[in-house]
Amino acid sequence: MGKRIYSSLEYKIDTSFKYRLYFFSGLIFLSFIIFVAQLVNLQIIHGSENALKAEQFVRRSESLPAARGQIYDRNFRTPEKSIPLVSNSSSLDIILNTSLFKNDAKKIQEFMILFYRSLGITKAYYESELSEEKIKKKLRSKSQILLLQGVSKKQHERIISFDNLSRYVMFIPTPKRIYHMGPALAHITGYVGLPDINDVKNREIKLYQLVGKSGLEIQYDQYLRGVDGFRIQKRNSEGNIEEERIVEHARMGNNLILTIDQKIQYAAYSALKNFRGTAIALKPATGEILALASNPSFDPNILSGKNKQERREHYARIMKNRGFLNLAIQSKFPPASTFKTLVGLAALESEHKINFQPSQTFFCNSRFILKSSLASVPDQEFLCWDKKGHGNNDLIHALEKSCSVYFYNLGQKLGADAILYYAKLFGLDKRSNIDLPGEVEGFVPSKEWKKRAYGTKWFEGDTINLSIGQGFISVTPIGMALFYAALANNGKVYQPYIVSEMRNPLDNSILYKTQPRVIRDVPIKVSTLEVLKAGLRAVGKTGTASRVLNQPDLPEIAGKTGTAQTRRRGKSSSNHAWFIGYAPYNAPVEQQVLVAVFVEHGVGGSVGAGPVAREIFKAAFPVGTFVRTDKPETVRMDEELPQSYEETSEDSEEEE
Amino acid sequence: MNGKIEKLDIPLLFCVVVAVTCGVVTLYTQEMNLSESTGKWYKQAFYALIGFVALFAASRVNYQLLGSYALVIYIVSIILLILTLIKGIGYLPTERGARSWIKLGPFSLQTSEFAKLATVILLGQYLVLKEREIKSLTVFFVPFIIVLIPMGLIAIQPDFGTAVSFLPILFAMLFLGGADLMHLGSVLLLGAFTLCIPMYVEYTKLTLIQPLVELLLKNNRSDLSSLVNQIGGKVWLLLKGKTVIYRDVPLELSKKNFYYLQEMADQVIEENTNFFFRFFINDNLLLWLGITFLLVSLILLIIRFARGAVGFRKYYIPIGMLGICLLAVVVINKTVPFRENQVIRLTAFINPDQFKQGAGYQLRASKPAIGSGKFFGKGLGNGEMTEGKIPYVPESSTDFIFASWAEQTGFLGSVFLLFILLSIPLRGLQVSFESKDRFGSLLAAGIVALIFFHMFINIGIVMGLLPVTGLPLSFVSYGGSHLVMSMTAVGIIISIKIRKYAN
Repeated sequence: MGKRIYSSLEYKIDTSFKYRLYFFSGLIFLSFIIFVAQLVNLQIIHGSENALKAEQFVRRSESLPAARGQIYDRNFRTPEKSIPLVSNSSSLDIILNTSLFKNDAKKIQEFMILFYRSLGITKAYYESELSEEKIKKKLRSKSQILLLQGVSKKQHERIISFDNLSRYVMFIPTPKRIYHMGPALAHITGYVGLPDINDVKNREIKLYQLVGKSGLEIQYDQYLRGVDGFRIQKRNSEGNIEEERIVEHARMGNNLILTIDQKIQYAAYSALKNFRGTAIALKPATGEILALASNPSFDPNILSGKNKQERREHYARIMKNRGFLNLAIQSKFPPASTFKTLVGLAALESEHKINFQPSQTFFCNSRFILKSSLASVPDQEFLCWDKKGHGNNDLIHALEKSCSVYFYNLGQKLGADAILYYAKLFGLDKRSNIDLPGEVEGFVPSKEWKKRAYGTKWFEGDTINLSIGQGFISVTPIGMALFYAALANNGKVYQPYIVSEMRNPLDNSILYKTQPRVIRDVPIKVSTLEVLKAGLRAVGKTGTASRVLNQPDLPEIAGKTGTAQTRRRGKSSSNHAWFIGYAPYNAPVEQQVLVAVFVEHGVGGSVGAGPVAREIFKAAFPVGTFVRTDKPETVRMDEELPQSYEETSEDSEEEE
Repeated sequence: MNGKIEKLDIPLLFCVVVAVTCGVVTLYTQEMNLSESTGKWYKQAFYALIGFVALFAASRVNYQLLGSYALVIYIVSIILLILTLIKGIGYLPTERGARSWIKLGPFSLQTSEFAKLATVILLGQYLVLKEREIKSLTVFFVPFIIVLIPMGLIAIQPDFGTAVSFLPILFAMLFLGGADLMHLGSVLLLGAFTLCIPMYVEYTKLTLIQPLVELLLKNNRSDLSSLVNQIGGKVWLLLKGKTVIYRDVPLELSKKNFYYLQEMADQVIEENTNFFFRFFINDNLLLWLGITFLLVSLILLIIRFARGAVGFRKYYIPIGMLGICLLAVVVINKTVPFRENQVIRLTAFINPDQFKQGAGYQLRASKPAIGSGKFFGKGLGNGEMTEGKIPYVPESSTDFIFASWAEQTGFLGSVFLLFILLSIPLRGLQVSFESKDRFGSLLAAGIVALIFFHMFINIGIVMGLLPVTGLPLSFVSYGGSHLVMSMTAVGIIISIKIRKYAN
C-alpha cells in the first residue's frame, strides 16, 4: 500500500475524475428515484385503473344472447303441446380455421378468394372483407373470420363436396328465427334483423342482437327480446378458453299467444293468393282478430335469415310489388256500397228529422238526375249499377240489391252532415289502434275540408257520391270492418287486438292478458238495427252476395258487397271489391265471426271479394259447428256489376 | 488480506446472485401453467452457471493483462461481428429479426455482446493512454471511431437497439475519462437537436392529421378528407411538393385542391400547435438564425486569436454549436424522409394509446401489466399478462421481463429488484473509486456504464419512459450471451477490486 505521488496534473485529473464519479453515482441514484416514482405512479396511484386495463387484455366479457320469445296461435295449451307460429332454431355460419394457415394473412386472403369464387358469390359481397390489413387486424385481436352467414343448403353441399374448402372451415350453428306460416302470417309477425344505427344509439340494443323490423316483432320487441346474459372468459395467450364463468344467464323473451286462428289465417291467405287484397276475420263480441291477411306478402324466413344475397334479392322484389304494405291497416279506399249501410243507419237514426220510414220507397230506373240550380250548368246524371233498374224498393230491398238510386235519393234527403256525422261517430276517420305498427287513419271529408282543399263549397253532387261511399271518403279495411262489428254487436265496438296473452317461457304463467275493451258504444235504436240486419241478411240470402255465399255448407251470412270505383291515371278505370259480413246470422253475437275482404281491382263485390269471404267462413265454421235454421234459398240475384258513374274522385285510391 | 472469499466482494456477488435468481424464477413462473414447458428457466439457470464460471475466471485474471491485450480483444470482436454478417456463419434464430448470432456447436453466441465488452476495454485503455491529451480534439474523436466501427457492424445486422446502446457507454467513458465538457456538451447538443427536434416535429405532424381530416369534413370536402385519411402522414410530404406514392402510383392532385389543402393545413397548424413547433418548421428562419449564430461565433473566434482572450471559449463554442445544430435541423428537415412507422416507433411511448399497433402495442400492454401488480403483486405464477407461449406483453421473457416481475411481485418486489440491480453499478463505481490505477478506474467505470445503461434504458422502456428499442435487462432477461457477458464484466470488476491493494 505504497502512497501515490501525484504530479499536479495527475492530481487535477484525479480530483476531476472523482467528481465525475460522484456525478455518475448521482445519476444512478436519480434513475432509481425516477423508476420508483414511476412505479408508484403505475402500481399505486393508477394501480386499479391499470388492473382494469390488464383485465381487458386477459378476460373477455361475452354476451349470451337470449332467445326471442315464441309466438303461438289461439289454440295454445302448453309450449310442449302446441305448435308455434314463430319459433327459434339455428342456422349455419362458416368460420375460417385460421390456425391451419399459421395466421398468415396472405394465405388466408388467397383462400378467401378461392372460397367465394367457388361458391359463385359476386365480388361486391366480400371485397370489403378481403384487405390484408383487415385480416391482420382480426388475427391480432384473435377474432373469428366469418366467411358466410346463413349457409344455404346448396352452398353447404357444395362446400362439403370440395375437400380443399371444407378442410379449412368450420360450421357454427347460430340462432335463427323460424316463421312456420311464412308469408301467410308475415304481415302480423313481421320479421327480425340486425339493428340499425338508431336502434343501437337510442334503444340500448347491442349490435349482435336481433330486433323486430315490422309487425308484432317490432310492436312487442321489448317483450320478445328477452334479457341477454353474459359470461366472463379468461383466455390464455393461445386464445383457448381457460376459465369461464357465467355471470348472468340469458333470460328468454316472453311467449306471445295470439288471437289468430291458424286455419282461418291459412284460408284467408290462400284465398287471396291471386289477388292484391286483404282479409280480416274478427269476433265482434270481443275484438279478437282471428285472421288478418294481406297479399302480396313477403317471406319473413328469408328476410330474417342471414344469407345476405337472398335477403337483398327478396327485399328488392317485395319493395317492387309493395308487399310490405299491410293493406288491412295501412291503406285506404273508398268504401263504396258497403257505406250504404251507414247511410241507411244515419237515415233511420234521424227518421223523425227527415220524415223517413224504412218502408219508404224510391223508384229506380237505373238513373238519378240531379237538377242543376244554375242555368249554365247542365243537370248531372248518376247511374245505378244495374242498367235494368230496380223499380220501387224500400230500405231492406235497396240494401239487398245494393240499389244506388235509392241511396242517391236517401242521401239527398238526408244531407251530407248527417252521413258524415255518423261516419265519424263510428270512427271511420280514426285508427283502430290494433296492436300492429304503422296503421293509418281513414279519411272522412267535411265541408270545411272541401273549402280548404278545393276552394269550393260542398256541392250536392258530393253528397250524392258520398251516399254510395264514393267521392272523397276513403277508409281502411279494418275501420270499415269495425263499423259492421258495431252493427253485429248492437253498437258496441271492441278494440281489435292480436296478442291475447303474454306468457313466461319458463313456467308458462300468464304475465299479461288482454281484456276485451269497448272503444265505442254508439246508441242505436233497436228498430234501426232490426231493419239494417234484415237488409244485410237479405244480401247474403237473396241479394248481391247470395250466389257466392248462400250455400248449404256455410252458416247463414249477413253482409254487404261493395264495388269501388277508381280511376288511375293513365290506366283504364277498374274496381275494387269489398265484402263485409258476419255469420251465423241467428247465433248469439259471442259466436259470430265478422269477415271483411277487400280485393284491389277485384271486378265486383261478390265476384272478387265474395269467394275469399266464403273460404274464410268455411274455415271458421266447418260443417257441423253451426246449425242452419233456414233453408238455403235457391233464388239468387245477379252479380253487382261494375258500371261507370258520372264522376269519381281522381285520387280515390289512396295508399301509404 | 484475509481469505479469498472476502476478496470476491460478497455484496456485489450477492446482488448478482439475487438478480439472476429473480430472472430464473420469473422465467419459471411464466411457464408454470403451461402443459409443455419450453424450458427457458433451466436453460437460463444453466447459462447462469456458465456465467459464474466466467465470473470467477475473469476475477482470477489480472485486469491489467486485459489492458495490454485490449486491441487484440477488440479486433477479435470486430472479426466476429464481420463473421456474423456472413450468411453461412451468421445465424438467425427466427425468420425475421437480426442476424446477430454465431452458432457454436449446441450454443449460439450473440457476438455483439462480446463486442460491447471489448469496446469498453479498448476505450478504457485508450483514454488512460491519452489521459493528458484528452482535451485535444483529435484525441477526443478517436473514441468515436472506436465505437462507431462495432456500432455500424451491428446496425447492419440490423440490431439498432444494441447499436444505440454503445452511445451512452461512449459518452459516460468520455466523461469519466476527463473529456472537455464543452466538447462533450457540443456533441450531445448536436445529437439531441438532430434527433429530438425532427422527431418532435414529425410526431406533432402525425397528431395534426386528425384535426386536418375533421376540418376538411367540416368544410364538406370529404374527397380530400378521405384522401388525407388514407395517406396519413404522407400528406406533409405531399404539401412539401414531393411525389407521394399511393397504391403503387404517384398521387396526383389538381392545383386547386393542392392550394386548398395547403390552406387548410396552415389553418390546422395555426390552431393546434404551439410556438416551438411553428418555430422549428420554419426552415428559412432556422437557416438565417443558424448562419447568424455561426457568424457571431466566428467573429468571437477571430477576436480570440487576435487578442488571445481564452475566456471567449465559453461563448463561441456553445454559440457556434447552436448555429450548427439549427442548420443540421434544416438539413434533416429537407433531406431525411422519415418513415411514419419509424416516427411512431420512437414517439409511441409519449402516448401509446394513440398508436394501437406496433411499438404502441407493447407499451399499451406493458404499462397495465406493471400497474396491475399494485402493491403486493398478483403472486408468483399469476402473471396473466406476461405468462404463456404468446404473452399479451410481447417479449416478456427477454426485453420486457421486468414487466413480468413487476406484475407478479407488485411494488414491493419491483423496488427490491430495482435496488438490487442498481446496487451492482453503484458497487462497481465504488471499486472504480478505490482502484489504485487509472486503467482499473476507467475500466470499472466503463463496465458500470455498460451495465447501468442497459438497466436504465430497459427499465425506462418497460415503464414507458423511453422509446422502445430492443435491449435486455442485464442479469434478469432470458438470453445466454448477454448474461455471460454481464457476469464476466462483474468478474472483471471483482478482479479490479481484488488487486486494488496489490502492487
